[in-house]
Amino acid sequence: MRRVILLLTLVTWSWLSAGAQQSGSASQDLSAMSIEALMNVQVTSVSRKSEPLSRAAAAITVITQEDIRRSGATSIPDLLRMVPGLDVAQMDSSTWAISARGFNTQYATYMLVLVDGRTVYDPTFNGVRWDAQDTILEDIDHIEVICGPGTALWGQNAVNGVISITTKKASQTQGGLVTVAAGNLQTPETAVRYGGEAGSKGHYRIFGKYFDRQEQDLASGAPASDGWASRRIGFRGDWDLTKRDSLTILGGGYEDVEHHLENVIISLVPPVQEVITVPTHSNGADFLVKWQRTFSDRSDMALQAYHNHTDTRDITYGERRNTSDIDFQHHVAIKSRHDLVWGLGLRYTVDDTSGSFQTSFSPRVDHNATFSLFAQHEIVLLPNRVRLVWGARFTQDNYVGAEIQPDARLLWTPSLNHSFWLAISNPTSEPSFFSKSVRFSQMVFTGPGGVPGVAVVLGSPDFRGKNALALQAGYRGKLGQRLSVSAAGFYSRYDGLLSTSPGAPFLETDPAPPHLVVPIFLQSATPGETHGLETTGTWQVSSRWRLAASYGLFLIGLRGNLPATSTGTSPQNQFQIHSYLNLPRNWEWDAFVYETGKLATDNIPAYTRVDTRVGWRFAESASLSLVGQNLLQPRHFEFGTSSGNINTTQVRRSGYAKLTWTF
Amino acid sequence: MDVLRLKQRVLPGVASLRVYERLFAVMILSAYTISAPRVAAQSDLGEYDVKAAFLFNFAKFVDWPDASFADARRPIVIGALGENPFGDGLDRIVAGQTVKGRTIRIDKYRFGDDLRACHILFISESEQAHVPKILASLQGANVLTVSDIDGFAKGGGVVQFVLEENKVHFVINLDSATRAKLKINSKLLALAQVIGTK
Repeated sequence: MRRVILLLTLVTWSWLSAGAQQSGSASQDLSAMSIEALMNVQVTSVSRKSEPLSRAAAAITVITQEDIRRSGATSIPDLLRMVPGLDVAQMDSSTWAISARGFNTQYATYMLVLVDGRTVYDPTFNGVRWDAQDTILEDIDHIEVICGPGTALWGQNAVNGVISITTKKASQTQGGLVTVAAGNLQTPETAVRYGGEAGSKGHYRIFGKYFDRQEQDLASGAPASDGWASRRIGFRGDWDLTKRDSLTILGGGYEDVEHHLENVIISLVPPVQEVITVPTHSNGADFLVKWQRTFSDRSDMALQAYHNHTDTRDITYGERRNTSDIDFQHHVAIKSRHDLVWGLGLRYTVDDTSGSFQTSFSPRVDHNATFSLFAQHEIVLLPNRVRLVWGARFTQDNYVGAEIQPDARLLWTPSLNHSFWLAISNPTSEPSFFSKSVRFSQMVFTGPGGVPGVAVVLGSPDFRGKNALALQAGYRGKLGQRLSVSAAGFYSRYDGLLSTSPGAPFLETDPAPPHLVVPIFLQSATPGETHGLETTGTWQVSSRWRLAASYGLFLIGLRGNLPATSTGTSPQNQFQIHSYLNLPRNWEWDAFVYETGKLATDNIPAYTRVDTRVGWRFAESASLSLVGQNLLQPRHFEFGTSSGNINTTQVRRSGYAKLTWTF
Repeated sequence: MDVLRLKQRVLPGVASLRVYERLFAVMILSAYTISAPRVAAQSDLGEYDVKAAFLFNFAKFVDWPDASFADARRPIVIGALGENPFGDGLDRIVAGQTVKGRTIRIDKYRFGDDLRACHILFISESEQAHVPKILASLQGANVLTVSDIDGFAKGGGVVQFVLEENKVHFVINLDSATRAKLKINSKLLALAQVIGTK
């Protein structure tokens, strides 16, 4: 109740102060102001970024560099917490589960994640190794997040959402940047970048980053020995070759040493299984070239090619994956009513695995080639009022053969400040290498007659992806010059959710001693449906103070037998409020409250997370920020252990100081 | 017991409520102390109030050919095309004002109207799809075209507003100004980001 009263006070006060500003003779004063003075007036506006969004028929959120800087986040996953409708749960120091609209797990399988146009979800699990996705956060231009299907235009795997990270052009990162952060989780975390001119027509930057993240906590509160050290380098070059052609070349490499708590089978006699700390070594490298040509105001094209290499190994399992991809895209506007984007791409990926009794793949080596063709046609049905966007993606690969994924959206813009949209999509998820080929020993036990037994999860060669039908409706609007709101509701039906079915036990002699295998087959047979809504509001209270709030509701229903592990991993309710305050003398104070509902799987209780940041730009080229995270509790769980292959640890209360210097 | 459980379900983390109540209270207080002097100084204005003031200022810093006025007593016409983002802000700013001995008149237009009688024409974002047609229809006319639309100046418009760190700045396409036979005062050019050859 007290909270309600306080909120009402807040609303009333701000209403009064806003009224006071408008009731004055502002207009007459303005006409007397010189043009130089006008140029220095701070104006309030519900951010420019919402304007292109008002034309999008999707639940889209854009994280800007300003949002990134002020969030105090030290990793890309932590940045994504601010996106309405996205579940972000930290599992241990270097592991996150991130998904939109349900089905969250360590490798949430229905999300497409792109970094500068390069697809980074791992086909082994069709999930993302978030520990491997990093850069200097200051060099990110923006992150677009779409909740809901995006397979037709964005690419495969975008059954429930798309996360697209775009870094700044090299011309926007000229000169030097050094950041150093230290705190109870950060032993000095350092990033260095330098950018300059590359010939007369282009620019480059190079960067390096190092950190050694400290351990989180066990359930008991003792250190979890899940530390994470990471080194990373990268570069980017952009050239305007002619008035019509531009070229981008970027790449990088990283090396990580992480520790995870894993449930490992130590021996078969007597059956022994223990939770031990498993060091994991991983490294990777990527290289991308993109050529863009503008033919005219109405027509342009892009040709892009990349190669991606990742190598991950621990005592139970290792894999080395190489992926090459080439994509072409052409956009043409036809008369004033039609806009067409089409493209085609070819991707080839090879994974070479090495296994153990704990985890192995059969076949050991995975090859997959995917051909993809998409087209999207936008028709203006009523100028400035009604647009129809329809399209489809056709894919052909070694796993499931040919598939087509259609999508249609209608956008109605009754006025500049209001837009309503409807969407119907039929995306399909791809089976992963894991779901077709894994052999994972889950548990050992003493069977009948003292014979050791092993429960083994087995992939099915005939595993097919799930087919989904998603209906969405949304509204986005600006109410005056200070308030913007959005709401999206969805209903999705899935016909083949992941489930398991037990098989007939059999005796295995290798490795010795002879043991009983109880197979558990992975299958995609369970139908289910989800629905929910995401609402957001941004209120520019004054030129110095912005408030943003969001609420997400998610409900799931299943028809059939689905293990609880895959249904209760997303919270029913999520609420957030962010406050961004500019103080005099270049001080900033930002505060974030996240309320996350409980997770049924593993009974993870609801938690409230409060982060805050104080920033001070004390010189033209230098600033200091103090950040506190998870301030309310000393530690809390954000995710359970039973739906992943690691044992989750508790996220600690933390704080750090960061110095940023540009030259 | 049941009531308590219900409360916990409705408000997860009841125990922690107090902490952010306090947080809100501090936010309100600090914002109030910051806002109070600012309200008095009226430095916190709507984007389109300021843009309206810029349109009025442009009238002072641009010279039109004599032929664009029928006689010395005719007003300077500022046209607003499409959905009006100014409210009555534009009318209020020019009310009772004169520039170079001329009064100022505000005319509202819709797409398809003859726009050649304007001296300054503000094109609303609602007309984004029509910009090429609008500019083509103004060829040879002495009209200072102004808009917020992305790429407007590059696409042949004369003045484009841009927001930089919540301040209104503008881009001038000098080629477009020259084609419209408009003389832009060098002070205005000095404050603008100029594109096009001189």
